[in-house]
Amino acid sequence: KERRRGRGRYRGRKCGRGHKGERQRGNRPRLGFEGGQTPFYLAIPKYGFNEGHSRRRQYQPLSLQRLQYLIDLGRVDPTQPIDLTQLTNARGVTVQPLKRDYGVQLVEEGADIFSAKVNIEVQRASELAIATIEKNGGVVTTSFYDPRSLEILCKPVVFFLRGKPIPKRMLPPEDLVRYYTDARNRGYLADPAKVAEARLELAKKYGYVLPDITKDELFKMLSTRKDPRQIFFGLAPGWIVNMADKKILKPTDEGLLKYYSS
Amino acid sequence: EETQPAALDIPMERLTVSYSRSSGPGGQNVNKVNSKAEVRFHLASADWIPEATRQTMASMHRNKINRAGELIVSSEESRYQMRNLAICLEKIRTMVTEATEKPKVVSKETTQKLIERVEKMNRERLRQKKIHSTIKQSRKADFD
Repeated sequence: KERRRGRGRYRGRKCGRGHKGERQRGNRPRLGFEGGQTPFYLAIPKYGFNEGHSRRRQYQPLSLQRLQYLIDLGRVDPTQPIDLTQLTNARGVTVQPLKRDYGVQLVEEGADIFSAKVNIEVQRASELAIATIEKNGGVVTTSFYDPRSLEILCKPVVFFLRGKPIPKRMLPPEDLVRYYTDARNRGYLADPAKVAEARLELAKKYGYVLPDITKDELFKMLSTRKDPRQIFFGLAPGWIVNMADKKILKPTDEGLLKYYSS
Repeated sequence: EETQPAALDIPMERLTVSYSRSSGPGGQNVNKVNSKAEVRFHLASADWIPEATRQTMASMHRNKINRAGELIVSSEESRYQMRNLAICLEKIRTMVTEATEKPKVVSKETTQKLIERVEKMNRERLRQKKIHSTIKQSRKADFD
């Protein structure tokens, strides 16, 4: 509109290009050129810092502030276990399984304001985030979803319309097994007794009294956890969901049942 | 932390925790957010610390005890209240650990051994020096 025109006393005359030389004539050398001296980006030797960066696992961050915001607005229901599906349906996070996203990670931003009792299941969580949720009487679990299961988890309806049986969730690869069997990360493969110990430890470290969830009215909901091979809460691997007829088909063949329950 | 029988259990009811705004740069966030955590407790009446340790702590951290006899520990290193509180508790734990450890008693035999070693090293050094001196002397062409 008006701003683009370089006419008039202020933006006219030399038009902000300076006086003569390459600057005014638009012939400056390429970015990074240092007048003939070996430029910085060539002088420094290569080292594999970013090697394979496009193949690394990525986790979409979810701050506690955002979670509190979603709960306050009513987009996410704290009376039900919170899963990636719930978060995606509420449009709280956007996960792109095709871009090497392996899920969601809990981040501490908003730890001081957080005050909601929830049963959350994420893929990674930092220590402070776990401490904050447990301080408010909630439960955190970290679990692994391989890319295929992740896609099904994020877009369940699209998957059900395909008419294929729900696959079983794969177990984590070697480098992640250690992470998910550790009670400190509240991994889904960790020993429940050790998880209880780790909860006490965290309470001592951060100086809060650990609320007893067994005496809570929502204890049953808070303690619901998924089977390591299960993708959805109510559905088991091997079932087919028929959206048109609103029916669920379960396999009866022995071999199939054995495969899906392994 | 786990060198003692599980990290020292600090009873939170006996401590006074207060939060305030931290100092330093940070724009609107540092002005609004209460992230500095300060922990106070009366040192002389803290039964959860052994008596001897209490005395040592009183002398070691004389500068952190106010006129009312309360030990004050504060932290504003992190952005989060909870983490600052955890850091305060860690500091208290390290203080207690430092005050509990006994000074290293070096036994007589060890001190004697150390003195003997030093003397032996000096003797050897002087012997080598004399040998070196004779070598250099033998290279002189001093005719009568």
